[in-house]
Amino acid sequence: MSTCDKGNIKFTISQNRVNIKQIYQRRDIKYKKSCYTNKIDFTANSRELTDANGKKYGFYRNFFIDFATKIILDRDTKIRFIIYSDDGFSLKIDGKVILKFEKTRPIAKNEKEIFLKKGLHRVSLSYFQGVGLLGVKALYRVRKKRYFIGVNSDNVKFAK
Amino acid sequence: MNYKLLFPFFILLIGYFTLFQNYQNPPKQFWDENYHIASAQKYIDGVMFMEPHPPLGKLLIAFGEKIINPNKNIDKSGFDKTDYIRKFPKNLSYEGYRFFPTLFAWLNSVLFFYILVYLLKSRFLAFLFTSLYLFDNAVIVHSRSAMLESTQLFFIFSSVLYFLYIYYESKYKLLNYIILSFFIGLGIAVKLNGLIMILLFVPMFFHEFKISLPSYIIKLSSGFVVIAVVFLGFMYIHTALGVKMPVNKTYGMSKEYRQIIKKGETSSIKNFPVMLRDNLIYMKNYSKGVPRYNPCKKGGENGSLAYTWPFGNKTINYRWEKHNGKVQYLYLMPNPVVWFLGFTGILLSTILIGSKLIFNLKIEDKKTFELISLFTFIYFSYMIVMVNIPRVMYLYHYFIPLEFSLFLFVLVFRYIYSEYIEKNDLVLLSSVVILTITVFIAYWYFSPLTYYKPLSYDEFIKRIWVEYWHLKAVR
Repeated sequence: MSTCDKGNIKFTISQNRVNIKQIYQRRDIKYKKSCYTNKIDFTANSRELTDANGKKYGFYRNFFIDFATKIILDRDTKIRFIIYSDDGFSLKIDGKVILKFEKTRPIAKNEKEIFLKKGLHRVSLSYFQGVGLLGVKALYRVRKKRYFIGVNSDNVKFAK
Repeated sequence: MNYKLLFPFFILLIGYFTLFQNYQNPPKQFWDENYHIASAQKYIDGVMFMEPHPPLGKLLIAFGEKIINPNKNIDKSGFDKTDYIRKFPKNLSYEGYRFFPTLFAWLNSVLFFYILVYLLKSRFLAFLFTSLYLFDNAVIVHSRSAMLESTQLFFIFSSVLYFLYIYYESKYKLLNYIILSFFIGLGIAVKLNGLIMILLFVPMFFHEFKISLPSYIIKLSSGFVVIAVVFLGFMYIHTALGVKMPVNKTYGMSKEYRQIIKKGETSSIKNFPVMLRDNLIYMKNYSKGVPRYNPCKKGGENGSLAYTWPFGNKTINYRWEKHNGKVQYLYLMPNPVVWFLGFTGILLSTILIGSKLIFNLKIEDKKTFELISLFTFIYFSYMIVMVNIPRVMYLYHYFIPLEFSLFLFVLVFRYIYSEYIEKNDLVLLSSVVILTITVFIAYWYFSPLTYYKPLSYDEFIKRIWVEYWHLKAVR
């Protein structure tokens, strides 16, 4: 099993043929690469897509990343999602957009607290890098503690 | 009390807190201090060395260490064996090495004020606009160090101020040329890019050629002689102080130079030409070895292209330390309001000059327009040279044109609002007060990056307003 197969979060990197200026722009994909990770933290290198372990993916500009995972709650929970991104992103829970920044920007933070019922929920994060610097990091907060999305905590578990 | 001294007094007071207070901290080296402190210590210990820069800046760094002497119980002998100190002794104090550069940075605030008094003809407005110097984060962080730029700016401001005295008081005697040349020579004796100040003689030609061209030529030649004497004088001190052979390096010195040191004759004037020659050859060859700008450089490129400097590209992370989840940074980071006003000054002055040349715009205030033309000429001359230098250059190489861009902003302000300035118009004065407050707020917001104050990751990324600053948080 390679390091690319480990983790609760599937992500697909899609290299676009043309410049990307916003997250919902029509895609014109040249090629894709899929992988797994156990946390969404691609801020180690602001020029080339690099994960928290230092693995480089050979993507620099005009690409999308689609992350998908499942979150399992053992009780009803108030949960805050925190996304850092350069450039934009869109976060969906059970197919519904709860947080987004559509256009290009230097690294910045967005967050939103929502109430989720006990049970399984689908989490999908779409991110794009236009040109210039890049980076994306996704965390959640429960009971005043922050964790990376993908990292289990007391009543929050993640699954593929 | 002489009310005229009130403004400089308050400027010095504010400048003490923004520029001078606590300058010895952080007690850790950053950026070129590794080089300059090594050079300074060699002057103190009498070890010969050669340098890409002229010697005055480093002599002053050494002088500060010598007179304050905070490190008398610390073994600095290792500094004499290298041009770049990799490991500094524990508990080394930077109070002495940083003293003169920081002192000059502080005094520059008053020189800046008096320059603006000439340009604006209003002490109150000059006081307010001195905020453009007092609260520029980039100049502050770089000046509170054992580096060269603030020392050079002191002589550059002195040159500009004395030139304005000549220009406004019509003092075109030989002595005035000599004094102006003396200040220019001092600026060149710190860094060679100070040569740009020779352009201050250009408007003096336009004044003098109507009166007596031969007289101008004599005065100008005398000025150049003074500049040469000042430069060579400090080169002489540099070579005379190097009485001991260097360890681990020869700097390509000639056999004759070695003999001079062995015989202990470095202070003999007859040996100076040989030592000077070897030093100048070293300076020339050194610059060939400096790498070019490389945006793909492994580990990241700290340099940037000259035409991007007015926009703050690119900031430099001089040093950082992580404690308890927060990070302290020392970042070469402009005050965006100040640099924007400087860019506005360049833009408007270029438009004004263009309007005159293309549309023959009627010029209301001839003297101010002449100064706008001169300073714009100096700005673009410097930037053209910078753009054509093949080696990598850094954002702090923009400090000289930055100050001229601020002078231009003030001059254009004067040109447009001269009537309101003379009437002490309340709306105008209030607007400048609001602008000053905006400058201060921007300074305050970015001050953690200037004074090594801790920031969380979120606090840091809030300060990344635009990507081309290349501010990067430490994870």
